[in-house]
Amino acid sequence: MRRLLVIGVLGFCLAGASYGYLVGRRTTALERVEASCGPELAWMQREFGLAGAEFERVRELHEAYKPVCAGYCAQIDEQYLELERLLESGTEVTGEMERVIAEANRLRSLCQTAMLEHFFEVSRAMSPEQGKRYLAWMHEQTLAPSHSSMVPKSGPAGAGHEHEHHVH
Amino acid sequence: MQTPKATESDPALSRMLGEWEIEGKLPAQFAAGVWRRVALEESCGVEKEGWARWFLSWIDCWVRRPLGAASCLAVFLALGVLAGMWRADAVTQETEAAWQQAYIHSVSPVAEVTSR
Repeated sequence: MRRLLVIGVLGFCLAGASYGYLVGRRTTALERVEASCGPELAWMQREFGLAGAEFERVRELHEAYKPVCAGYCAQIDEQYLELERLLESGTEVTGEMERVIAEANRLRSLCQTAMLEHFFEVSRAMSPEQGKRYLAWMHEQTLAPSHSSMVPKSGPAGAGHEHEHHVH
Repeated sequence: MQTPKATESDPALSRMLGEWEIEGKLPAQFAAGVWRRVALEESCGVEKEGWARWFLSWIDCWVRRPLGAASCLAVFLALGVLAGMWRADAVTQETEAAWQQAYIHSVSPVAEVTSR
């Protein structure tokens, strides 16, 4: 039985080493991609096979869009916080509440328009086929009828949290 | 084919067989190898009580042979490689799903990401 034990231990070491090597190699490769351009663009790069000038253009557009989006998000958050403050003291819909809701809607509309513009710009930076695929995917994810538009589900307080990651 | 009686009655064939010498030589350590294998077979008493004991004693007997030991290690290696490939694919899928979510949320913070 001693030989069986030795072979078993050796076998487990061999299996563990090969498992660790394969998983480690893949993890390192993914980490390297993520470190080079961040998780968002890493996905774009892999999903749409972007490389070279094409990828650089998409990166530029993405970096330029981020502060625009963050700006709108911050303004929408402000409106929701204002509405929350009004709701705490109010017992009926007031003119001030209507004004805040209208402003939040206007900002959401501007935000969505800027988002659409960004999607079109990004799609134009890709090959026509990939650009079409990108637009279809983004449409499905952000503007499809099933999507709950831009209204956060967790309510006004949650809206602040939802948008937090945009403010760098 | 001739019967022994027939060869005995053939003096030429009998003389030829009598002059025939075996020229081939057995490899060195042949006898030792044979005795080692005999000893191995004799020491390999496969237990008959309970399937687990039977299996263990059978494996134990099997890995005593170099080929058996090598096969056993190859099986472990193959299992490690298969498990590693499966886990690496799972890691890739999980990471890409997280990247995808990060992208969608970076362009539309309240979007609900559905997997592709």
